[in-house]
Amino acid sequence: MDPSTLRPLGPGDLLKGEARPLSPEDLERLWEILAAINANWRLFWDEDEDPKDHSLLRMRSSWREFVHLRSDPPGPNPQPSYAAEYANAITVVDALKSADPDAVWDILFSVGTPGAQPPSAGAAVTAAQLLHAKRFVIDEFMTVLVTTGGFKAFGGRNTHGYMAGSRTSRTVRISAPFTFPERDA
Amino acid sequence: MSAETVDYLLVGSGVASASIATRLLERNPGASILVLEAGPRVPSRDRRLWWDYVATGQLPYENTYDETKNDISTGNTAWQMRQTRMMIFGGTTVHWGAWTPRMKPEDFYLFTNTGGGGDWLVDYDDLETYYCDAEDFLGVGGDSEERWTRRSRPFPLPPFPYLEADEEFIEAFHENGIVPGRMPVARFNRCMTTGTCRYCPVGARYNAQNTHEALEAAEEYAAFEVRTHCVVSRILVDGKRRAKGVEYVRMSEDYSTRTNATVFANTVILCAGAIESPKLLQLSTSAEWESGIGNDHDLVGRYLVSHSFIGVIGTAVANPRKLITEFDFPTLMSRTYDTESYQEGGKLLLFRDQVLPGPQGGWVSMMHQNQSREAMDAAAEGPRQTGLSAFFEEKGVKTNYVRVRPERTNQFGLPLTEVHFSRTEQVMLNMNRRLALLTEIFSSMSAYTQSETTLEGAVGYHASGTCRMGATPEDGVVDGDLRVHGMDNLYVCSTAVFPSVGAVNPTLTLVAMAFRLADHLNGDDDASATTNGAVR
Repeated sequence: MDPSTLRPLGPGDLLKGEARPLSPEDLERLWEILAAINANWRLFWDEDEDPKDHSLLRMRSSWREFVHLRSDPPGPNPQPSYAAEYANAITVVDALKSADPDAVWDILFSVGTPGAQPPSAGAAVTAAQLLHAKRFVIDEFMTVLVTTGGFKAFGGRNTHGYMAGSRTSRTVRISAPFTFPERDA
Repeated sequence: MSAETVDYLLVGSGVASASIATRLLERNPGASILVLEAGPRVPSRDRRLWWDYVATGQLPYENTYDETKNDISTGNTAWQMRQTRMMIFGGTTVHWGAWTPRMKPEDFYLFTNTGGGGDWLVDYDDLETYYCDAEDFLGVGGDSEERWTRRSRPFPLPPFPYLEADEEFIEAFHENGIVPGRMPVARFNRCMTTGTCRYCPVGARYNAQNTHEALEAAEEYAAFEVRTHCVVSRILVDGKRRAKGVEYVRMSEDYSTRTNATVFANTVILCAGAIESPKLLQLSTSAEWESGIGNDHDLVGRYLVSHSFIGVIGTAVANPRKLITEFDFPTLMSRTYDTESYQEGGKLLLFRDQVLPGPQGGWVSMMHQNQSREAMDAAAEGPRQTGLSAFFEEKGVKTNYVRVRPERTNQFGLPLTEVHFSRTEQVMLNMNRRLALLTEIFSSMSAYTQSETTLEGAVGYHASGTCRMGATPEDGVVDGDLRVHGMDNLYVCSTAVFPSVGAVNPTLTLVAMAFRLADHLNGDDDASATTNGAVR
């Protein structure tokens, strides 16, 4: 049952499944996962706003593009679909919730890490299901959350994957003009 | 299909091929041009592939690099092939950093100035307007006021700004008498500084694949075609002086089956880089060319030049301004050590290199490890690592070479490569002396403790020299017009023809040379061509 006893998953381990568009319901269930990550690390977060994660909506269109392209990839030679991984993650969240709604996210975020919290008794999920949900959904959502703007919570000015980075941002601090000794001599 | 004839046959689909084809078609839209590329076509500007890269770090073209198991490296210095070149539609510009400095006037006279390496048969003045054209073509942003090179036209785009993280280095440069400068980079104005230059989602960083695809799509260039999965195995000759075409193997989409084919051409141009171009000449043996075309004097593949990094990394205990890597390229560089007086011991192109926090600030991996927000806030404030790196100029020597090993092939059906590369004690001494210069600059920044130095082995990023130009067949493989000595219609357009490369990235110079070659082929080269292509 302990996911840490399983080997790490690589790209070739993606669950096989037919590509399909995400239903509105699927989309909202996946958004719930993203919002839970955001709430835990308080990236798109403002204590003065109500709700505090209101600004998370700023990255929703980017995230929607991400999950749509992964679930139902376009093109004549499409990349593998994540549809089965997304379905698995939704199933895993449901199973953990039914066993202990308060422990869902602590369990999922800690999968495969030292001191990982085991699933509550009665949760009908396998270690492999947990590992897949963590590796292919939770971890990747974390990355998307950081790169679409969450990095700013840590004082960052730009990051790998952020559209409209330092060059186009109006708020970024860049170096003051420098005097060229050679030119101005 | 196997009996077709084209005006121009280009082997390889990288930036040289794209530049030549563009210039030829501008003058003669009806010209029939066929580009044969061994590698596959991987979509560029594909949003799904870009997201995959952002989310997982996986690039869609990893399988187009050399496989380490195929390395045949001899000599006293191991040659790194993997990740230094690509076998793919678009060539190495699919992943390149797109730093585009010009060579300096003295670089064209390396042998004259030092007695080592080689002299070019063109010089800076011959190339200056071609440099301007190349900068326009690649979309280079740079500082038009910099004094290191003379220029007749400004850069087409302004430079990228210095970043906040550059400030301390600018001060350290100043203290050490080093003039700071902006790195010229080929990123069109649509660059959004996503930091994902290795797979640009908007086609802002120059990629030869995009140029080729635009030419393919243009109705007025109906006779232009790129054919991928095509491994050229031999250049066919008609007598001693004429290339009549090539034999090639057309591989299936998954490279499991092969079909032999032939194409005839009025002009054949090898644009296959410094490794494959000489190998193809070596493979093309015949009664007229027993050792391979252009190889009567055993020069094809010789004078291999490496361009290696040296660097110093320092660690600061704190990062109060929470600086992270912002761009996927350096914004601060200096050419103070890139002058004639440094040629003897090897010039340097200096640049600042952010190390840690890395491209995603380290935050993503901390979240994956379920570390707390508080731990992440603490990490954002330190420690921090930063580096000062440089390209070190090396001189081509005859005993360093590339040789085709046809007994085995790689994942795309290309024959393997033996690379023999040795460094002398003097070269190592020079590298260490240059490293000491970097160390000295670093030591003037009190916030840092030097934690690491790098003296790289031989790497193929900017490999050059293997078909170098020379005034006579005893001196070089091609003449000043890049025509193979002894041939009327066979050319090499690659860094292979560079007798020296200075301290800088060679691509801009390659594009300038490609435009010059296209003008020669278009009959527009009165100013440059002289007897046997030698201009001086």
